[in-house]
Amino acid sequence: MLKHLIFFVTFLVCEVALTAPLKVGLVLDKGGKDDKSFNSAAYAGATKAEKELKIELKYVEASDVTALENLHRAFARKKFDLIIGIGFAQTEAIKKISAQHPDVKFALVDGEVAAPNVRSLLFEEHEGSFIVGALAALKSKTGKVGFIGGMDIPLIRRFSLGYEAGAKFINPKISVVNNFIGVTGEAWNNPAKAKELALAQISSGVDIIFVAAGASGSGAFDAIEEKNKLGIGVDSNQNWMKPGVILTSMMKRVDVAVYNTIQDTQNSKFTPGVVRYGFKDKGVDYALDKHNEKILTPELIAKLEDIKTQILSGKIKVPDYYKQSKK
Amino acid sequence: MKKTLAGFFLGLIFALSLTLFAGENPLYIASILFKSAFGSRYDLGLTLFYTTPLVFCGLSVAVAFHAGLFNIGAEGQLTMATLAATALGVALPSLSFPFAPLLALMVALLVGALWGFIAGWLKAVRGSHEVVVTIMLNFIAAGIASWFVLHVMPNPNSQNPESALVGSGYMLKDYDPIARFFPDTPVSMALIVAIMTAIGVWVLLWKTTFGFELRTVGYNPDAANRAGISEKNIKIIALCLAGALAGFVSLSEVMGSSGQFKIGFSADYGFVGIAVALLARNHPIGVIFAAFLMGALHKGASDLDLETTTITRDFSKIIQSLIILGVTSHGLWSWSNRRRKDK
Amino acid sequence: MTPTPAVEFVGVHKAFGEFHAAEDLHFKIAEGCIHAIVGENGAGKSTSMKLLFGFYRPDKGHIKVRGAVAKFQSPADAMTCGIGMVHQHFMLAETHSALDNILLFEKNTSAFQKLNRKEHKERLQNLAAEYQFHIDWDSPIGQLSVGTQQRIELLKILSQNSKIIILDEPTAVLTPLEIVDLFRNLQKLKKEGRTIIIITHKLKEVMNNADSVTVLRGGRVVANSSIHQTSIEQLAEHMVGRKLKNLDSHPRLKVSDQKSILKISRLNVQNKFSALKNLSLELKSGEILGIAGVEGNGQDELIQSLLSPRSLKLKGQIEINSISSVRLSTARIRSLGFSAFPEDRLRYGVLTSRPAYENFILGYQRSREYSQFGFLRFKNIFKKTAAAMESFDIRPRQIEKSVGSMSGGNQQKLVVARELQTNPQIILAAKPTRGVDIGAVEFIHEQLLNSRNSGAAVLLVSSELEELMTLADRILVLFKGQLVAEFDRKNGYNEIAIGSAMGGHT
Repeated sequence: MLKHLIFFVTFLVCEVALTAPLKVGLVLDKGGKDDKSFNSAAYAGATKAEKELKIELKYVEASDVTALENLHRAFARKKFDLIIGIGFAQTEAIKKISAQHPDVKFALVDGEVAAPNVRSLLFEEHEGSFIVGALAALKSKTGKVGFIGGMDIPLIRRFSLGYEAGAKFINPKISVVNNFIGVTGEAWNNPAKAKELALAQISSGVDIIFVAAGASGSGAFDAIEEKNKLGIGVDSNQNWMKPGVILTSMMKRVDVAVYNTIQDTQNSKFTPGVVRYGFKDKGVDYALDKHNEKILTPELIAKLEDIKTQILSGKIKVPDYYKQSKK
Repeated sequence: MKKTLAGFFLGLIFALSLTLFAGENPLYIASILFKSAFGSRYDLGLTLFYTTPLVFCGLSVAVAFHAGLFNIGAEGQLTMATLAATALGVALPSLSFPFAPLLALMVALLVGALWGFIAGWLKAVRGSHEVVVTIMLNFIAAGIASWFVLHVMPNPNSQNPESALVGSGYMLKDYDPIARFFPDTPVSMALIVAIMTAIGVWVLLWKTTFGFELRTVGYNPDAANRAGISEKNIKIIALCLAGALAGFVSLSEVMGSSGQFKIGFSADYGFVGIAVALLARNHPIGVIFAAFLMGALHKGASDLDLETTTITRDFSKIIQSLIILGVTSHGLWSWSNRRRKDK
Repeated sequence: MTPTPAVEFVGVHKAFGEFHAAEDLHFKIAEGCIHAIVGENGAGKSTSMKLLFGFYRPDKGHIKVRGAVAKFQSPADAMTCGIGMVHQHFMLAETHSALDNILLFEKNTSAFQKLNRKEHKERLQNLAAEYQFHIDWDSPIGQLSVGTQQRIELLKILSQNSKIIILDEPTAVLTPLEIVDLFRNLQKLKKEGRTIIIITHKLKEVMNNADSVTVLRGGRVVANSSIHQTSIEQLAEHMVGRKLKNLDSHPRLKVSDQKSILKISRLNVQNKFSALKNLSLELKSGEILGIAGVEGNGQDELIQSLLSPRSLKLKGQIEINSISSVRLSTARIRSLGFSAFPEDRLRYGVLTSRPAYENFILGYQRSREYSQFGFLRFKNIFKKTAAAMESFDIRPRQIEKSVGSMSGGNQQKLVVARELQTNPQIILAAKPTRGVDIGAVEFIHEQLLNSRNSGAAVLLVSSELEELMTLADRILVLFKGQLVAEFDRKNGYNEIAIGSAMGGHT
């Protein structure tokens, strides 16, 4: 009896408190909110919105593949206003649940779902990767740079292709070593393997490594620090993780995309369809802050800004893996 | 059974009181656990969906255990079987119902049995310990599955690590009363098959001559050998059987719900199956209930993340583990009882 | 005034769950004598001594040691009080040397202190010399003979200078010569003023060596007596609770059909520990052939060669009814009319946690009587088991009762009933009365003689001379894998001659 009573009272309290603000559900990918990279960026954007926009935020992390759909459905059934899925793995789940709950709005990062209540948030990762690739080539002394990707999927291939093109743009003779951690979702969460790959690359003469591997990245940075080389972070600004070791970070502003979507929804300006984030709106960029200002000299910055304008003006065509593979 | 249940609740109470440290009311957490496992038809459907493979895996572990073997390989066996069923469905998409799912199941059971046979043969002929072998076979199965799914028959429409879809003739959906009763959930009539299989295993173990021989090998292999029962053959057959039972998981996963092989589809069914068998004291009928309990726990705990702010994915894993620990500690319990009596 | 006894049990009770292992035990053991505790299995002999040694604590009553009430919490307390025990299964670390095993027991050292091994070794050597123990100090214990191991156990106790020494079934594993040796040593210890308590069921040894005796039955004391006032017959009667038959007068029918049914020729087996060398024998229908020998002289290999030859590397020939069996499976061999009482009942013979009826069909589960279309025929199984339990007087008379909860004698009777249910042509009876009470021994012996008289051939493998001499028509002695001597009933058995042959002296 007592149990029922307590339950009832708590339920009542929750119910009353939650009526007013916008309810946002955030479904994170397997890496989790503490991957200091992709999911962390999403989480940062959402918490920023929670503070500034006074929304009600609830986030969950997926535990297994079958759970994703259930998490979305659970949010939808609780009448959340906006549900944001982070990562391409949630495409199928959102496709299914958004059709069943047309009154709920959905946003999907890194995946495309064509539905009247879904906004797809895509990034021009290849452009950002191009510019850090160019930076790597400018900084490399050995003429050999490396790339470590998380899961071997088209999305990450897109990073690596852009990176390679950027490096070759500066130095056509440069050699680029590509490695991927794995083929399953575990690849986002395997720092040990990342470290192993980084050490192998370094021993083959690589002196700068771009690490696009979610929570696995920290392992690679450990190896890079150990061997006195330089690394490039991804998604979030990861410069702070190892000041002086991380040359810069290829920022994919998932936080901005998440924040903007929440803001739009709150202001009743939610629009379905694809929203692309590129250099234009600083959706992708390289990071510059107090942690790397010593290594990133003004000359280098000038060079990078020049390349950026060339990309924006269409003078440089950055190869896109998505378009290549479709041919 | 009484002690096992006591262990279960002891673990549950201990785990719930841990939530106090996270600033939650344990009673509230318990109510969420209960509500999200049985609260609605939808929740119950999901619980039953998790129950189904756990019944199969629990039976797989239990049958091996009755022959004196510890099958840690249910995970690998179900992986290989599910892969086989998917491969058939992708390779021959035009087959039609009900022939298609039946054939796929047959192939899955065969491949599962084969995966068990490897361990059984190595055990019987080479004396390799089945625990080591089955663990290694789990890794091999996972590797083969990854390679096959990603390079041989990947899903062309997705970046997810998953296979292409099997032909529509393989799916039980349209003919499945269970799935219709629990809309929106992946539960299927594989559940009925699971219950019938459990009863079948019970009959096999306790009513047939072969079952008697199998149990004899488990109780006392030396006595079995003396009685003219070939310990080697029985152990090989037992592991084949265990593999086939684990192979039934393909029915609930591929034909029953997803229609494809998703890497990571198994929420460690093969390993939780060990806990299920333990909880049921290896009794086939008990396995049904134990699997239901563990399924409910899995479903309930996975919603804790959603319903509370402090109980995260990791915390709910701690809760599940503590309960399994509670169950397995019943041996410790009886031991301490005996000590007390001695004094 | 009588002197204070070394040990006195005053109304001691001990129960394990429902089972009352000891009830209201009252008896005294005088200082400086050899006292025997006799009784059948489960009579409470070991329990009572484990109570004295601090393994268990009495539920009721108390034990006095030299007049003072003993409150032992553990064997360590008992040892401090000057009590030592040699267990039936030795408590030795087989991979350690004799010296290390004894030093393990040193109490006056802490874990961080360096042992002065040389000093200890010298002291122990002197001690061993005093009792004329010849001990190899440095080889791993597992390689030493059982008799030596027992001497090391004794030495362990003597180095603690224990005044009360308990020996649990000390002669069960010894050769006849080693037994003589043991009792000579015990007499010496007695002369030094020590009190010796031996647990045994061998009444002849009691009569020859003990000063006083306590008989237990069903957890109660049924007799307390000095040795001069009793006899073997009387003790046996106390133990069993009734008079025993004399099997020597059991009729031995002359079986006319003397064809040889089992023929072993030049059998050679090389196993991990022991081996069989050029063993040849013939077994005829209607005879009991005894294989005498101390454990570990090749009996296990012989049994294995007969029952599961495929599990061994063997050379030579075995023929059952003129069919060569060395390539056959156990199931096939059994189907030739071959039955076996296993040498180690718990290991090879029964499923302890399973009910009597499952044990009764073990090995016959595929027979048409018990199995149809792959399913067990429970009705038949229950009926047959109940009938067998009735005719073999197996108690408790419950087919559902687990075999583990039965006494050793009843377990063995169930095994015998099972193995005789098909009227086999050959019976391999390996240690058929090991760990079995006298009543059951008598019954099993009778069954074997009956089988013989009805034309079965019995191969009796045993280390008990009495059993062999009671039953066998011929006795072959197995020593270090070879048959070293043959004795025939017609010429009369000479116990000493057989005994020394078992020790390798022919």
